Amino acid sequence: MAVPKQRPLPLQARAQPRRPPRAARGGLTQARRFLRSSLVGTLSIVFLAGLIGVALFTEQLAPYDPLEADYASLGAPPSAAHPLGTDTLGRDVLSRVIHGARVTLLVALTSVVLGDGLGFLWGLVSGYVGGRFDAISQRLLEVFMSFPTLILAMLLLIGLGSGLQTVIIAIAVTRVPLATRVIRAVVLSIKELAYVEAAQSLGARPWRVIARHVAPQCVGPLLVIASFNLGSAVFAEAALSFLGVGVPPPTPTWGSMLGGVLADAFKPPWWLVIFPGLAITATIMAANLLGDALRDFLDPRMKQQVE
Amino acid sequence: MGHYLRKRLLAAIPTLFGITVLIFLAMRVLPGDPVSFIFTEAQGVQVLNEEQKSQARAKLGLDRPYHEQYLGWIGGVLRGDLGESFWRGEKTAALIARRGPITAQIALMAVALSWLIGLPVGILSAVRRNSWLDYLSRTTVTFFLAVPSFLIGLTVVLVGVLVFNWRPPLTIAYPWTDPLTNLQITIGPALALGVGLAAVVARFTRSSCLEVLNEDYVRTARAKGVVERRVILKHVFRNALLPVITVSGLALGGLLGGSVAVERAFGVPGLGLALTFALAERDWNVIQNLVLLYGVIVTAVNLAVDLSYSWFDPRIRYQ
Amino acid sequence: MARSTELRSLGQDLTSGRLSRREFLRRAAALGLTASSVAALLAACGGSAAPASTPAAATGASTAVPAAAATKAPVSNPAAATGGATFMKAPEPNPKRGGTVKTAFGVTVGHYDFHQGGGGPLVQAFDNLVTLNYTDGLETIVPELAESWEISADKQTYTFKVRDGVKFHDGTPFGAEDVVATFSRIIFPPPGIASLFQENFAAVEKVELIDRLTMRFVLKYAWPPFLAALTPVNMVIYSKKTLEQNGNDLRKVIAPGTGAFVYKEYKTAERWIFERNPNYWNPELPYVDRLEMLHVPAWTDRGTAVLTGQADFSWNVSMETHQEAEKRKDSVATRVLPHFGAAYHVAINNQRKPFSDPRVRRAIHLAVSRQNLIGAFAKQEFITMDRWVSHANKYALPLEDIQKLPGYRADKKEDIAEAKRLLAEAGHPDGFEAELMSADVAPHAQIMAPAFQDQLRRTLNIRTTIKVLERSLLTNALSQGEYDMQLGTSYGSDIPDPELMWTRALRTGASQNWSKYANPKFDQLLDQLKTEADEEARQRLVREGMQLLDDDPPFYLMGFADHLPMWRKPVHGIVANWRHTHWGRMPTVWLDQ
Repeated sequence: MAVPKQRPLPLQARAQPRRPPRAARGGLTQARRFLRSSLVGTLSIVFLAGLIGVALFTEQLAPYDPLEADYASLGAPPSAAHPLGTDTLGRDVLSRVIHGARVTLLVALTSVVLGDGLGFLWGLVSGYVGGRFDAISQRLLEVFMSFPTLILAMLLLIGLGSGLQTVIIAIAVTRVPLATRVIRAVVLSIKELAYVEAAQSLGARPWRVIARHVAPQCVGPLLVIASFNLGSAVFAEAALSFLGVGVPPPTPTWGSMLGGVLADAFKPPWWLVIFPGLAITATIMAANLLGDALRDFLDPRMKQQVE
Repeated sequence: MGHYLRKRLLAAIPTLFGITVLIFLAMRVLPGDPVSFIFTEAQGVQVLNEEQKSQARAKLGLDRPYHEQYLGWIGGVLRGDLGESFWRGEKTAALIARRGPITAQIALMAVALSWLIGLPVGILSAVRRNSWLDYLSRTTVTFFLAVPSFLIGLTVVLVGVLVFNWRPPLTIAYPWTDPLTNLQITIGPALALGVGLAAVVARFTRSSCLEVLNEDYVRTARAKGVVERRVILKHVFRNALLPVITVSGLALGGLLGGSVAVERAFGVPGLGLALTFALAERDWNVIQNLVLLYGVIVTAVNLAVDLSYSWFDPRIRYQ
Repeated sequence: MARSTELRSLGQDLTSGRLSRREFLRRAAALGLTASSVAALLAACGGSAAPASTPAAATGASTAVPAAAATKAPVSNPAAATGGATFMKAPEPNPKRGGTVKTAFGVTVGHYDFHQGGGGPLVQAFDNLVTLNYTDGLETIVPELAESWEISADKQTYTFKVRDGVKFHDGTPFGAEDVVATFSRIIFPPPGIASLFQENFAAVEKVELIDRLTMRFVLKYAWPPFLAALTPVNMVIYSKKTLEQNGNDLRKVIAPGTGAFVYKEYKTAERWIFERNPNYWNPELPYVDRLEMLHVPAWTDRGTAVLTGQADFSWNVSMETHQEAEKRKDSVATRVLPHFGAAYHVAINNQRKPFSDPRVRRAIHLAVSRQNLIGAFAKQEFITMDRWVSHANKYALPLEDIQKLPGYRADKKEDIAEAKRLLAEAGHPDGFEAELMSADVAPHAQIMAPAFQDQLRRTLNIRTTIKVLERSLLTNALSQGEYDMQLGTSYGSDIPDPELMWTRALRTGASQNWSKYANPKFDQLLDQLKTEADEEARQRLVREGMQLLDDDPPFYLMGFADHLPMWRKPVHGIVANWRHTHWGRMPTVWLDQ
């Protein structure tokens, strides 16, 4: 009888392709189809794209210098001059939220690209090559997964010293195991499919089989994981800041804006909590909804039901 | 079954070995050692000179070669002796025995809470797919998935103090000694963690229910004229549980190690906080043992989850 | 901001007779003080019962404390003054007995040996030889295990007669040999013992046992603060037996004390439990049966604990909870207590360029606005602008005088112009780049460090990057001299006299001179201060020292932060009137319930 070598991971069941490969179809056509099929997905993409736009044009959008303290209006509530109020140092909250978008997105996107990218490659090779390499990889991943995530991140931060790069690396490293395991599982299921076996038996080189036949099949699942990881990376940045080990000040990030106020607060001014909190929540929501929509789109049976 | 269990347990050994090596080396490679830190907490800053430091190191056995220190630690663990805190001489086992139950209880309560909320919501929104109920619950679920748990925690504490003039007691109480105090300590963190987890559970329940609803055997059951409620409970629910169990298991494993941010927000004396304190003090021995414990817990929970599959889905058998 | 300082100078005016009692009460009311805190202040200033018009004050402190009264002049012989042994007791009449006091505190202990830097709340189980009087706001020095003392005419020999019949909690009888063993270990530490207070007793030549109940300290030179150096709460007396049994190292040992409370239980980072010592040598004390000291690391949690009754007492809560408590006067009492333990400052590495140039340090001293930094931090801590010594100190210059000085005054125009000139003269007309280190605690890293950074950039175009480190690594960088600038709170002292603090932190080559400051003129002044016995001359020397430090600043000092204690109304027995050291013992505390 079946021996579950691997517990089905939350995303894995859905991520496996159940249809003949769609590799031949162009990415652009796919994207267009996706946008047409899912309103929520489209809205999420619009939101995230808007956010990236904000991050690119911070200088033009922010009314004030986010680092400029104003000792005459410390912790002032929202007003005409400061629509979202000022923080404990009299810095404009709106400007900090806008600039925070840049840093937070930079941290989240880079760490997801790095972490999931590494996980993608690792999972691909590990699943395809199998054997001893796969076994050792699996053990290594288990070690990492059995390590408290936050402690792992804190150890890295102690080791590398605090800084933007370190936060990115710490978050990226903690993304790797999930991506690797999901991609590996997908690869394992594809490997058994007739067309891959056919390619192999026709004498195609392994790297060619991976690149032409296996990898394209994994892009969909990767996108799904990446969009979920994007949300959790934003959360991880906030949690690290809350514990005082995030991106060093005075650089505004949404996490540090929240963390700095909340760490020892009793009654934090509402505008200092609501706005960065809203930014974090909305971004995580958008990323998760995008992940949902992508998953539904890539899994045809789910799609039928949603439509 | 026995064979399978043995195989799994054997497979856990290299994992645990890897964890011990990793944390052991991390402690020794990372900047900051216990000797330089521990003497700096008196009034002002006091620092030992090199001679005093090396004497202190020798006293703690930190001057021995790494492999000796490592074997000494592992040997102790295998004999059931987790050693003691470098400075206070407090037994690590005692620390775990005292704080562990609170952390475990919070984790279990959070998972239980997430099922109590998440399962009905998930099933309902699957059965009434695309109704206003479905949209409402999905919106709520997506929202709670996205709100950081420490934010919920701080809000709960603040409302307690300002509205009810109440805050959780700052002691440790166990359900078997002082259930009322115990409940007061654990309910807040369990709620803060459980709400977020409930969102995850609801999501997975909904999607796996939808999947099962489409299966042939469900259609068959319906075609046979089985009452809808029975279809849902007997066929759909049971089969839809698998992914929910998986995700709950993952979460439980994580929570049993203690959620540092939430423990801090509530000031709960749990294992997660103990670990951060030990980290700040570079109390290597305590850190090593707590991380190892976490590894053991995660491995055990994973195994338990796998074994539970056969109970929920009789088609799965283990060799 | 200035309330506490003003309050203190009010008190001083009152005692010196410059202010009538009526005028004092009027002004105190204007400062928004509660009746009971006024009464406490009056009592502490040696006043008699509060006027009948403030009935609430009567419970505050209507009777003078016997011990305190007896030793009003700290160096007088208490036995001679009272004709017998003196015992401390609660400042209020008819204190009640019994009950449990729960305190919320935030200190973790690394180990249990006080003289090697650990111990923490374990002070409850111990006594000192002499102590500051908790019942008069630490104004006077009173005997504890000493019964009386004599000071030789040349002020170089201090002979202590200790109490007879005192027993350690393990039953060992206490005697003068225990005092000798304790201080010998501190002053002449055996190998392997890291005596952290050795320097405090640099003046001591030898410690001698005379007979079972008598011992003496022989000093190399007359050193006025000697008695004060015996008063910090960690100057506890261990038994000779315990020290010998443990090879002099008590880090892992919870040693028996002689104190009013007996150690019962300790759970790391959770709580300490002490119970009343039924055989305490002071028949009056303690009043409560049990102390539960809960470990609550976050100061906001400490505040909410007291607000909601989870704890009865906390020495230091967060500003916000303190303010919330002020709205709930019917259930909780609050104070603002200056002390001399911890000053917010930015250490500057005097050995690194360009900070090695005194003009650069002076420019920073002048340009950065203390008012702005303190204002930005007002929601976190109650910092008072200080000039090199704490405002809790009798040597301190009154705030209104400090506010007129260059660098300290609110109007920055002249100061910034002068600072720019100095910086240009030093060869940095366009500023320079440097690194500013901060601990990884939110108020430091997210508020104070960015504020300081902002001020430096704005006034002198000194561009800093903030580096956030764990405290242990921060301390390491500090002690190794591997930093440019570092925000910290380590400048301070455990005794009122500033000489020791200055000698440790500012003398060339001193053990805690982390800024690596070297100023021969200042060293010379410290030499004079060391042996100067006349109070007025000392005062004058301290003022001179302040000027030297202003002219050639070792680092940038903002000020000492006040403690914000808060307790529930049933708690009595501590006159927390205007200052305290970081840990108080609680034998005089009682509960009105």
